[in-house]
Amino acid sequence: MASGKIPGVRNVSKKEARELSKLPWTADDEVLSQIGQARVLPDGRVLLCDLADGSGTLFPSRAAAEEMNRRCAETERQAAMQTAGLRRPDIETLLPPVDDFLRDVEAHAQSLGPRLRIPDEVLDFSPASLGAVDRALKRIPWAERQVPDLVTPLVAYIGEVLRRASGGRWVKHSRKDYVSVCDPDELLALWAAKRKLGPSARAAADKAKAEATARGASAYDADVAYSLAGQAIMAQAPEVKSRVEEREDNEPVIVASNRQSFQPFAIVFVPMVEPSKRLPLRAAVETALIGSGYRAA
Amino acid sequence: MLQMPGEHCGVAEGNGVYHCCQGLVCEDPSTGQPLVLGSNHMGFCTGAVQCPPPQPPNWQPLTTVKLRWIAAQNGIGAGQTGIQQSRTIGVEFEKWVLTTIGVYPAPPNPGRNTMSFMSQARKTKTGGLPASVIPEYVTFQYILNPPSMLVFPKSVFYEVKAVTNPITLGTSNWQTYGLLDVARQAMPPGGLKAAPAVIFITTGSTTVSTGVVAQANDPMWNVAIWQVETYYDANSPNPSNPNLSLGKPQCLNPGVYGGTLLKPITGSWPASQLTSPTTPSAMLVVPGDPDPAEVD
Repeated sequence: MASGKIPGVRNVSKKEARELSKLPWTADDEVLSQIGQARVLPDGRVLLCDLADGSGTLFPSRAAAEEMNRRCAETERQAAMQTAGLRRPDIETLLPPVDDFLRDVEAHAQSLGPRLRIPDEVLDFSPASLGAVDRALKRIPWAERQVPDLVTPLVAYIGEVLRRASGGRWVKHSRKDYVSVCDPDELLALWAAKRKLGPSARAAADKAKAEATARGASAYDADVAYSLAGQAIMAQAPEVKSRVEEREDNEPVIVASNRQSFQPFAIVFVPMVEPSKRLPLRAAVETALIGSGYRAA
Repeated sequence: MLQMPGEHCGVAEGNGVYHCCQGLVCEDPSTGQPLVLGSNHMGFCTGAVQCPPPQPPNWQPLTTVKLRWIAAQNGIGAGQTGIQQSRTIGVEFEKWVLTTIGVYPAPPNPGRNTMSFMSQARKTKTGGLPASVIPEYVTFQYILNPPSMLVFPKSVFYEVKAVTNPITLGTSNWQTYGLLDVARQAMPPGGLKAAPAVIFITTGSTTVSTGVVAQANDPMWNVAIWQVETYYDANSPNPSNPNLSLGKPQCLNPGVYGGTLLKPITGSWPASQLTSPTTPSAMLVVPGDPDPAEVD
């Protein structure tokens, strides 16, 4: 699956979207069927006004829009698998089974040096040694880090650093949660139906709100009228049969001597997904230690 | 914690910071000189006590400026600058919030969410990556289906934000847009209609933009937006590390509940210091309150 950015695609403000929409565009329900109705401009560019505030996304060509639509279809399928309770948690795909991980944790931690080509003597399980890990990781693009043979030794090593600095111990943390289980294809059909119903639902909701306001209804009551009218249209979408199941997730965590806890998998994995959470591992671990009442060095 | 003459003071490893009452000096027993707090040593309070009578809390919005100041006073982000320092302070704030609402420590509490959720909407806006979100905490809520209550799995998404600017759809590389998108994918049981919720726990005075609320209100989305702001005690006897407190949860678009209000979050948490958050004795994150309460 191609994952790089599609050249020339950019987000446009409400004002620019409004200006572009003054051109003689033609509506196209197919080219961006995963997302919403497209406006094909006279020069072949494709405008998508997908936000409630009127702003949107501009594609340089029909081909670029079609590529985005294809990629979004793949993402939506993954999302449907997840909502349907069929996608494995990230921790299960990136770490060995928790009992195996805990049994072999020292060996996993010691495999970090060879994996990142850091001499063994540098990796002395001190928070400061994570500086060398941060430097070595810079050679690996973020998009290539979500692989088991990197995440597993990283989680093991960071956990060991935290364990030693906090006088703690590894623990298998089990938690129960609920998931909806359903047929992902039914879910995809539901979402497609909702996209088709969207414009008429918005129109009905706007009309109901305007009527309520004209009657002198309060802002809250007008909002309720808006919501109920919109949902009445959305109720035409096909129903999905689902059931609720209880699932158990397991995670290796460190319980410190003062009963605070650390989640080394979260320290490693969250920044891989969320750029705004990116911190050098050394800073992340030192902050976790200080915040839990321990010295970082 | 304020100490009296003869009592210990300084940084106790694993147990936080002990300050002396006003008028006292924290003295290093080996040198007889005042102890520098944050140096991981213990001393003893000496001098004549002048502690004022305790005042009732005076809760004021915890701005990001105040949060930074408190962090600096307590050695958080020391030696760091720029975005790294901001993120370090953000991590500490996040830890305080998650401990306060009963997510940490894990165990016995559930811990920070580590599952990513795919978002087609975020992918469209970022042009590729990030194409998912990883909310701090994800839980279920109950929906009333007389005479029973049904579980609505993975329908409440918490995000902690220490930001000055308003939270918009585009905040943090379209993270907010992605959060709304994954929330709308939640699947209510039994074909019932129910609104999933995104709960922003923020610094004080942080606003959620009207664009976020408008998007959440869209009939195709129908996601409830809640906000909980953070306050600090301006009357704290320990001004460099005052107690922080979470305010009352506010639903920013109660209309999505169609006239009834499901409360996916309760509003009673202990106050505590940034550097030593208090974990409730019992799990305080109550995932769903079936009582159809009044509109706030």
